Amino acid sequence: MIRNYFKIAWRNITKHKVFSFINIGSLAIGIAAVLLIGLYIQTELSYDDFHWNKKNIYRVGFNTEDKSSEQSAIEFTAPFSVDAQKQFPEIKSYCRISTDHESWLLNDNKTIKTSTLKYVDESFFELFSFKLLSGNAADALKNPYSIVLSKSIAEKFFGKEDAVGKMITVDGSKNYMVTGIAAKVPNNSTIQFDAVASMSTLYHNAAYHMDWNGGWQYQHYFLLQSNSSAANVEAKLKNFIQDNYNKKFSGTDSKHWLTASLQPLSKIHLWHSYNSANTRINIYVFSIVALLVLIISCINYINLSIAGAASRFKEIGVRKVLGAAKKQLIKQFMSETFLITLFGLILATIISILLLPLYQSLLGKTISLQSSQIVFISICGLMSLVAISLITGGYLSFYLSALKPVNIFKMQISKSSKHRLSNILIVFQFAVSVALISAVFIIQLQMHYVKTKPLGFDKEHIIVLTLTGEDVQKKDSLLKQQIANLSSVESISAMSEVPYNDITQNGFLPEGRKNHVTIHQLDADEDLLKTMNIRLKEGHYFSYGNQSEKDGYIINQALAHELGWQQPIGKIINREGNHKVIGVVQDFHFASMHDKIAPLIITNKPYMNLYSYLVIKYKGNNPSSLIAQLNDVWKTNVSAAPFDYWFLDEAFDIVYKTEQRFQQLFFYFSVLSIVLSLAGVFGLVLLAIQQKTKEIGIRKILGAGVLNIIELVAKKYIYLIIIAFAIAVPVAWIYMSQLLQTFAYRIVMQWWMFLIPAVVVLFFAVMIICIQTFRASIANPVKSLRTE
Amino acid sequence: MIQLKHIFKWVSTGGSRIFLLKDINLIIKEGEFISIMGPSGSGKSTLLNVIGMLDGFDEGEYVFFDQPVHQLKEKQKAQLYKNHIGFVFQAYHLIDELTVYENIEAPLLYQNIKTSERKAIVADMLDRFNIVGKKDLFPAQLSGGQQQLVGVARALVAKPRLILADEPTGNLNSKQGEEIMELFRQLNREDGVTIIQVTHSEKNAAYGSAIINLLDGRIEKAE
Repeated sequence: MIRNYFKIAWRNITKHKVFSFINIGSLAIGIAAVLLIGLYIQTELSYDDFHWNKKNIYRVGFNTEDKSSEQSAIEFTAPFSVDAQKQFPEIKSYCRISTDHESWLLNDNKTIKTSTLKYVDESFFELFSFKLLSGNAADALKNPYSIVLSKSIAEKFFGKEDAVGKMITVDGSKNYMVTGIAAKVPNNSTIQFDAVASMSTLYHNAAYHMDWNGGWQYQHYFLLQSNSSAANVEAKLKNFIQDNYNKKFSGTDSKHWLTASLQPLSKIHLWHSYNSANTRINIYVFSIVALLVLIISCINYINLSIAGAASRFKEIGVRKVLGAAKKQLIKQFMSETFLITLFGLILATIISILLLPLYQSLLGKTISLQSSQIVFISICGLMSLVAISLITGGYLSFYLSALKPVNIFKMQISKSSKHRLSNILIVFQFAVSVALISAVFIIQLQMHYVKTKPLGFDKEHIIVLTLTGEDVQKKDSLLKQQIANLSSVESISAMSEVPYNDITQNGFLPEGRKNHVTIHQLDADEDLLKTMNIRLKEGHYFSYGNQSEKDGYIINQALAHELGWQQPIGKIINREGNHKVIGVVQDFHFASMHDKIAPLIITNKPYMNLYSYLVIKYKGNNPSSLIAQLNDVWKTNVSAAPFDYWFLDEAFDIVYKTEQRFQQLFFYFSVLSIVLSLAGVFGLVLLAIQQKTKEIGIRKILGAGVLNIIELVAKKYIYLIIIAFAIAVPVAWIYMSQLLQTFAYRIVMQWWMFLIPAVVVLFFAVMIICIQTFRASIANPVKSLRTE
Repeated sequence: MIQLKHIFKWVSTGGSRIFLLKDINLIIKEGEFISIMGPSGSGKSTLLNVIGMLDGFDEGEYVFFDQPVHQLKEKQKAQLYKNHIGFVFQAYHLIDELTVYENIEAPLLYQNIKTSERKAIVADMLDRFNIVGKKDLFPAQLSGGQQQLVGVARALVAKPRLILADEPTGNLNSKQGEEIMELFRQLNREDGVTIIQVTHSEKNAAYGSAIINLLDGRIEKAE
């Protein structure tokens, strides 16, 4: 019996090719959207789940009283874990991971630059589950100057030879022994590295302060005993930190200026990373988008099937006369729906596989198809299949099987109920589409605003040279002098950091405050303002002529405002000594537009008296000859170190990459939903015209022109779209204002931002209707009336 | 076998009633071959539908094989006509997506008959009507007469006691029509199938044993 149903279902599909195509295509797109988005969400949710010890691994977050928990610092001074483990038996073992070091690895004249060299404790490969292809996990990172390379780097240096035991040079001076090769780090790992070196190395280097008052440069991971509770340990750490740090170094008396919290490994990606809030929003938004696209597909299917069912009435009537019971008819239609949905699922899988590369490049991350994910996706697909079949098939079946055979033979089809539901569905489809397109439009406007808003300094015509390694940094003034002499160089300045993607923070004690405040600190030479065209508002800036003020601080307006200083010049800020404020610069953006401009201090004394970047402003529009000249200067002075340059305006684009990706994906899915809605309308209009063929023929004979006929068909849809618009706008307004709130600097929403998308949607819908109706209206009425 | 007592059927438009069937009284015995005749709009098809339980009525009693149809629920009525009545339509009403074989097989599917039995019954029917060679063709590939033949085969396949035919030869030319009517006569005489047909044609009515004339929903004449 089932075979019979499928046979008939297949024949019905092939008989009405256009509808079947729109139907199956629609469903396939809906299911594909669910599959792809499900894949993305699953990837995000599965971060760090490959570690065996994951249940007991915690990263330590360090909270100062002026920050929220999501802004916990995750890097602290070195001895924290070492001393904590000695004191607390609950901590089974620990692993520290240093901040990323931008380094040059050299072997036999081959140089490879890495920006993710990390110094880690010897427990690294045992606490975490990163795979070692060769080398011993227990002692690879025990001795100082040991380094484990990733497989790709090892192969670049040594080809197929076993790299273990070989030597490479790091940053031009020190020789490290390769003690292991690590497999490629999974994409869904928060901890990413090109190479890891032993933490013990840093203890042999005088430049690193590994005591409690040293640099906040180390992440701390604890492996707790299985029966220990994190809350318990957190409570104990409170006093531990109080004794070891707060009392000695925080500069405040009895208050707990610094406390620690334990972040479970599984929660790090979604709750405790820089991008967590955005990731969570993305997951939320994309889930909704997936659901909406799926709903629109189902709506299309229901609408088209109901409309197309008119041609099935006769068959149903006959079957009822032949003795079909309601249940049997329902089974028949459910089988048909199931078959169509199955085809849709197969097509969706093909579409998803084909689109995966494009999707990944849009997302900016690789979605590796591990076995667990394939299982997940299969389940998603099957669930969609079952859900769609049941819902749409069920609805259709009950609707169709309730018809009385007599009515069918008399060609009496009840119009009202069918149309009401169909209309509601169309309104919903278009409301969603209009809302999505408005959202996309507004997001585009916001991104454009963000990209073109004046930053407070010039980012164009600026090349940055990275000074890596101490040897190069020591020669900064020499390089600067020679480069300044080049003809196309307008100005050049040395800096500790380039202000485009946030700036490091330190603790300061401003005059009149009892507690330390964390403020961003930028170190730059006397040419900063000139090179980057930053405006000075009050006082004066560092100058070569006036070396007595070298110890002073320049602050920005935001800092003056926060401290409540009407007259900042002359005030004292303390950090390892007293510093007088000698000038105030106009606020400029040094981080993403999501954040308000934060307080900033500019000093003239970089750490260890070494700057890390040379920022060059050039004349003219063709920097290629300049780059060649810079290369020459470089080779002459610091030949061993590789020449690394980049353009500042390009770097800015990277900051907004996440938003841009989101924006692009959102755009594509919105277009998708519109295309689906329009396809739905296309199908419906086609059917409406088919059913109205007789009416159109008669009206033509009575004298109707083409426009009248178009009006006949289009009137209903235009009306529906306008209703959809009225519903969509308030909803979209509310949602978009919430989204815009996440930007400290944003556009103001205006009514035309919603009107334009609505008009566009209306335009396309009317176009489709007109084209089809036109064809119908020029047909010969005699033909359409003859078949009566 | 069939008893209609004081059957009334009307539609209300605004305040007034229009009668489709007015005070129909009929007794039809097994083995009869009845023709219902009358001008257009006289209620012939309506009467046929009522007899076939496809349509209801507003007043009166209907007894079919001792079953009080007017008191039966939808499901029970469906059971009755499924098992005992076969329909033949003027427009054949074959299912276009099914082959000749499948069209004839269709009623059996809804009676839950085993596959092997079904095959045997359909094969027998195809043979009887001499259309074995056409069993895999679709209705669109057959002539009108052939389609109607299939329609009759379909109506007979479940071995009904009663056949209701609504202008079975209306869409056929004279020769094809004759063939169908001969077939009916044969079924009635040799197999004892009761036949009630609606027809315009005096010639067709002559095949039957009795004629009922309808006018404006009432029985004018019965002979």
